[in-house]
Amino acid sequence: MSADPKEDIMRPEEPDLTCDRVESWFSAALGGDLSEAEGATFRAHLESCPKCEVGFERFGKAVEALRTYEVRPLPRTFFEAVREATREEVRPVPRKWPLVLSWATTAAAVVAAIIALLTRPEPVMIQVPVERRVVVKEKISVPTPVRVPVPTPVKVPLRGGPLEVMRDDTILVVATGEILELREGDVVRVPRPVAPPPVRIPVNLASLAEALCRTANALNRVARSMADVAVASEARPRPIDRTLLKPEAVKLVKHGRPAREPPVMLVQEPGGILVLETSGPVHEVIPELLSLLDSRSSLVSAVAQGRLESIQDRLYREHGIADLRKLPPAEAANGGLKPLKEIFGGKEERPREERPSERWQRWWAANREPILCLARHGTE
Amino acid sequence: MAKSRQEASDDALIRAHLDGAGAAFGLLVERHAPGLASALERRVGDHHLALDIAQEVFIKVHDMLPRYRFEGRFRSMLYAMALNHARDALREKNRSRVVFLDEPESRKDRALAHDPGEERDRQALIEDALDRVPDPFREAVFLRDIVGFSYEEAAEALGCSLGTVKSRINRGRLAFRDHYMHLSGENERRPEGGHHAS
Repeated sequence: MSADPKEDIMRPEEPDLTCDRVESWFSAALGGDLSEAEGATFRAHLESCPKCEVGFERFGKAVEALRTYEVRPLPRTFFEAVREATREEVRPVPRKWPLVLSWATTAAAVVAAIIALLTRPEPVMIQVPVERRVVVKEKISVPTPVRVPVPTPVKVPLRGGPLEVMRDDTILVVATGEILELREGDVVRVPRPVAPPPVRIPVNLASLAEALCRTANALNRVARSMADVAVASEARPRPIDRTLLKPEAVKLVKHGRPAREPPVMLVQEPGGILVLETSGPVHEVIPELLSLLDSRSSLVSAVAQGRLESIQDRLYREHGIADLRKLPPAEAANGGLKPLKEIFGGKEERPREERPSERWQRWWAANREPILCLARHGTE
Repeated sequence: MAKSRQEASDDALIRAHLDGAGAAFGLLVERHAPGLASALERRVGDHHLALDIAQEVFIKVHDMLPRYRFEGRFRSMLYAMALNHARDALREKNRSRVVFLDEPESRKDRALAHDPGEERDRQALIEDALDRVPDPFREAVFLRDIVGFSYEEAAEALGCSLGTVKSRINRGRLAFRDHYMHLSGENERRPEGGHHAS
């Protein structure tokens, strides 16, 4: 038998067949691909050579056995991981904004209203510079108001967004600068913002890489995202290189998606700072970012220049794992995908102190509806 | 509807996926993933690594679908890409090679020490015999006889000529026959080395 497989391509015209040559015809004979003359030569050789005859018979049995082989089914986690990684649409997320700024200003307005209410006989007038009209927005059923203790009166300027005052079954929307007569039993509420401004998140490479590491199952996607971020964050200010984005992403950035705004935009600030502009929470944005970026060319150079720490290095340094694929068998169950999540997830679960903004959010979620019921002294 | 989707060609599923049918790509994955993962496992000799590669390949393929040419060659393209990934992964793996004292030599020894008369699981027997077939021939045989590729598809997936792939399939089958007969006890003699790759 020759060493080069190409030399074994069938040559049926040879008059004297060796056993090796006949063996090279086995597949063709089994598949019925031999011509009539070739078939006759082949059969003649088998009749005269018991070794080849037995060999061909076993060859047929072996191929038949091969074709009965059934590949093993894959774990569901495999399909779930692929589905998750290739999910194109990020579901619109109900917007829960901290509202720290608007709450603060509105609270100031409410405090001013309370001060006025408590220090003057009725009716109470709030004097503000510009006159606006009061609009009846919609009729609602007013829930039982939550009574909030009135804080120590403090004089504050009345600024900020509109207020809503619930009176009987009607909501009055009071814009800034309006004059409104407040009555006993009115419920002042901070309305939810209709269209909150996008949140601008300065991208810190280390934290972004860590976030990507946590959320993405597929390391190559993380790698190329990191690469693009690295490219875009070079010190010299320059516009985003759109050639680094996939065509669909460019289209997305240019025109937005039908029926909704793009959830994430990359903006290059002066000084070369890359800013993620988004109207969604960060953890929802990361997959979108991953789908936007498509280049891995500069990752190696970025890592080589020390601007980025490779994921493998980070894993080794922080968790002593040299290779994701060499996780211990117990952790590598479910296709080796879950453990990575668990490793980072486990680290993430360390108890930490709640931030003031988080306390606000929690409070706001629990007391979203009426925040104040105006009442005069001596009445409940 | 679901049934017709299951029976739809790869190209039809890709078309449906690009038209926004959410489940179409999932069906493609379910159709090809088991065979692909098995082929990769034969190639890299590591189940988890094979799953990782298969997943990466499907993600990459997903990103490439908008540029797919509808020529009915999805399957061969998918396998070609996966086998290339497997080669890269093996190269990477060999760079930081860890020698396991139990693998793979002792596996061979265990199988050789196995009593041919004992009843063995047929699937495991085929796997054992297939794992002993040298690399390029094993891939060709796997694609042709287990995945069901045509010669042309196998040639495209393996990146070689039609003649080469036919030759590899024949050699691979011969080697498989010898190992299979030996392991199943139907062949008293040891497999001859003449059919193996040099």
